[in-house]
Amino acid sequence: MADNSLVVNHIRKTYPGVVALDDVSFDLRPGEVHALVGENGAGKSTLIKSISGAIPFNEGSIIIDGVEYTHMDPILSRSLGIEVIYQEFNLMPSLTVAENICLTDEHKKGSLVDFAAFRKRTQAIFDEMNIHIDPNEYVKFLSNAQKQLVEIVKAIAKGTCRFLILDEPTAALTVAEVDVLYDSIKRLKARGVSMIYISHRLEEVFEVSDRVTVLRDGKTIGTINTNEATTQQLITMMVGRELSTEFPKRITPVGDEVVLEAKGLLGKNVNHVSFQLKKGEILGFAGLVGAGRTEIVRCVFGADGRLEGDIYVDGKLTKIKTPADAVNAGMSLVSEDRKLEGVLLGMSIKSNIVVSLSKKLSKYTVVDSKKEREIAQEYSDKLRIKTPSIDVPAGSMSGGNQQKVAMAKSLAAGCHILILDEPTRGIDVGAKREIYNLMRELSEQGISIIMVSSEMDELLGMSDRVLVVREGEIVGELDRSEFNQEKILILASGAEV
Amino acid sequence: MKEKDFKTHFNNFLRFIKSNFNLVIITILVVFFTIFCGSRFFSFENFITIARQAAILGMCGCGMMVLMLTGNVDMSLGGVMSFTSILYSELISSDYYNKDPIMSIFVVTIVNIIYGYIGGLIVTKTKMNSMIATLGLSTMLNGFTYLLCQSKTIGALNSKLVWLGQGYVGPVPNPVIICGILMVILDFICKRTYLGRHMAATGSNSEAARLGGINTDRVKRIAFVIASICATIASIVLTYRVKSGQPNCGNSYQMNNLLACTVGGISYGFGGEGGVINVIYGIFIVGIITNGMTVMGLNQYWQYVMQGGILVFTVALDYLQRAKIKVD
Repeated sequence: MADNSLVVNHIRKTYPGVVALDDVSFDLRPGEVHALVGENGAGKSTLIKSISGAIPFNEGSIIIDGVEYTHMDPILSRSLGIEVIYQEFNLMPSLTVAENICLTDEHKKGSLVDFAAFRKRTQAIFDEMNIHIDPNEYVKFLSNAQKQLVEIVKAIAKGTCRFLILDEPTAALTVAEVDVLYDSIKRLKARGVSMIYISHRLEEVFEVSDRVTVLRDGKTIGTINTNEATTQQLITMMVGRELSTEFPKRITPVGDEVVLEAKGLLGKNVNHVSFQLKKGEILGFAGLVGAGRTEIVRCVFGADGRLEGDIYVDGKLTKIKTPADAVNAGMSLVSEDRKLEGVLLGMSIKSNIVVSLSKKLSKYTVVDSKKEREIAQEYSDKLRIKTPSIDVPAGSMSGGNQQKVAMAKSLAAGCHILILDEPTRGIDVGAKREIYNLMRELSEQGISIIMVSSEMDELLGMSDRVLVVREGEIVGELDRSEFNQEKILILASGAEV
Repeated sequence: MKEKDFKTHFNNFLRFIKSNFNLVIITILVVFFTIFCGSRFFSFENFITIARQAAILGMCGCGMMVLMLTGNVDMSLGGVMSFTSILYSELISSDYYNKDPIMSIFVVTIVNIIYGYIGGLIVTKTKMNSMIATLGLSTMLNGFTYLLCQSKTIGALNSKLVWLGQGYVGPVPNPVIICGILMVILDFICKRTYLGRHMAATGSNSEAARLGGINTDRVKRIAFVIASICATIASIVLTYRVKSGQPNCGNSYQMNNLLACTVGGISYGFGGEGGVINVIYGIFIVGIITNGMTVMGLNQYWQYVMQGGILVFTVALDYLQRAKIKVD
C-alpha cells in the first residue's frame, strides 16, 4: 500500500558515551513540507543521516508506506524514494547540467551515452519546474542558487523520489536567490513530493513549511502546525534545556584593563567586527554553525588573510599578519580541529608542548633539551595530563588529554590571551569538567580567554560576557547578568519576536 | 621455567628485529650475495668500494632526508649534481678566478643556494606538490647543464683539491669521511637545534605548527636550501672522484636519493620522522644491492628493475601501515 507516508518511529542512536538521538519520532505526511529545527547539536544531521541510511541507528524503526524497516542503508533508502540534498554541493563542476542530472541513469544507446536524450529529459523537467537554466551549461559556471536547483532536479529526475530531505538549502544563497528556491519547493509539493526541511533560520520555516518539529538534545520536543506557531513559541521549545550546575564559579572579578581590542576587522566571512577583551575575562562567542565565529578568531590570530582592521594588544597597535606574529604578541589559538590543526599526533607530548618554545629555549640555535624537558614536564603536571611519560606520542592519547596537550602548548609559550575554539568538542564528560576547571583557574590567574562554542550550557556556564555572531557580524553583546538561552538564540537565528 | 625463558628471549628478539628491521634486511642481503658471489662480494676491498659509492649517495641523501622531514621531496637533486659538476668543472678549467678551486666552490654553492631557495619559494608560495615542482625544475636544470657543456664531458681535471674525491685516510676513502662529517652536522641540526624541531613539527602537521607560531614556509625554504647544499657537496666530491665533469653524473642519484631515504625508513609525503641513521641504513641497502648485482655480473638494467620495484614496494608498505593505524 503506497500511501506516500514516512514515519520515524522511536529512533535511538548512540555513540560511545553520547546519546545523539533519543526516542525521536515524527511523521511526514504526503505532500507536506515538514521543517526540522533545533539548536546546534540537537541531532538534526544525525536524524537525516539515519533516515537516509548513511549511518545506522540502534533502536526504533522507519515506517514507509506502512512497511516497517528496522534497518536502513543508502541503497534501500534510495529505492524507497528517499533523496537527500546536503549542505555542500555534490555536483561535478566540469560536466554539463544535463550530464550531472542524468549520468546515473541508464540512458544508453548500446554502450554509448546518449547526450541528446539527457538534454531532452533535463529540459522537460526544467520546463515543468519553471527553471531557466541551459542544460548544456557547465555546472562550474552556475551560481549557487542554480546549483541548488540542479541538485534538486537531480534528486527528482528519476521520478522515483517521494521524500526529499533538504539540509540547510539556503545556507549558500543570497536573499533574492532564496525566492527561486521557494518557488521550486512549491512546485515539488504540487508534484506530491514530501519534504523535510532543515534550517537554522526561523523565518524560512514560517515561509515554506506546513508543520514544524523541534528537536533538542536528541529528543523530539513536539510537532506543531506552522500557521499556529509563533517565533516565541518555537524558541521556547528549542531552548528549554536544563543547565548543569557543575561549572566552576568565578571568585575574583574581571579586571578593567583591556588586553585585546579588535577594530573593524574585515575578512572572509568576517564583516566589520570590533570587540574588546578584558584581563582575566572569559569571552564567549556564540552563534550557529557557519556563522563565522571561527573565521573571526582566526582573523584576529592572523591565520587567514585580513583585508582591513587593527588589533591592539595591551593598548598598543600590533601588527599581526601571521600566526607567528600573534604568538609573539602573547596570543595562542587552540583550534577546533584538534587532529588536523591542533596536535602533532605523531610526535611526543614533550615535543608538542614545547613546539612554540624551542626557539626561545635555544642558545646559538642549539636547543637546551634539559630545560625543554623540565618545562614540558611542568606543564604536563600543571594541566594534569594523564600519561605514563611525556615521551608518549600525542596521537595515542584520548581526546581530552590531547586537548590538554594543545592548551599546555599555548601556556608553555607564555601566552596571556588564549583563544579556544570549541574546547570540549568530542571529549567525554569527565574531561570536559577538567577543561572547565582549568579555564576557570587560568582566568583567575589573569589569563584572558576567548571561547568559541556551540554548546549553550558551556557558553552560559563559563562566559563572563557573550558576543553573538551571525553571518560574520557581531549582532549582540550580552553580559553575564543579562544573558540566557533565549536571548542568545534569538540573536543568533536573526528571529524577530 | 626453561620454556618461559625461551619465550621471553624470543619476544625480546622479535622486538629487536621489529625496531631494527633495516639491519635485518642488510644482513639478509649480505648473506645472500655472499652465498652467490663468495669472496668476490664478501671482502674488505669490496666493502670499501661499497662505502665509497654509498658515501656520495649519503651526502645528497641527507639533503633529501632533511626535506622529507618537512614533508617535501626534491627530485631535482640529481639534476643539481649534474649541473654543479659541469659548472664547477668549467670554472676550474677556465680562467675565471685564476682557476681557483675554492673560489669556484664558493660560486657554485651560492648558485645552488639561490636555486634551492627558488624551488622552496615556488613550493611554499603556490602550495604545489613539491615532487612535480622539482621534477619540472630538474628538467630545466638538465637543459642548462647540456647547454653549458655542449653535451661534452669536461675531462682530465686537476687541482689542489683532488684529494676530496681520491685519497684515503688509513684504509678509509676520503669521500666516506666527508660524508661522515656532513652526517654529523646534519644530525646535530636535526636533533639539537630549534630549526630541526621546527622542521619535524612542520612535517608532522604543517597547519598545527603554523598556528603554533612557526613560520612553516620559511622552514620549508630552508630545508630546500640545505638539500641543495648537500647535493653541491656530493657533486664536487663526485667530480673529483671521477676527475671529470659529466653532464649525466647525477642521473642515477635522482631516484636513488628517494629510494635510499624510503628504504631507510623515512616516510614519503608524511614527514616529521626520520634522521641521519635512516639515511645510513638506506644507502647501505641500496649500495649493497647495486654492488652485489654488479659483482654477480647481472646486466646493469636489472638494477633499474630492482630499484624501481623496491621503491614502490617500500612506499606501498608505508602507506598500508598508516591506513591500518588509522583504522585502529
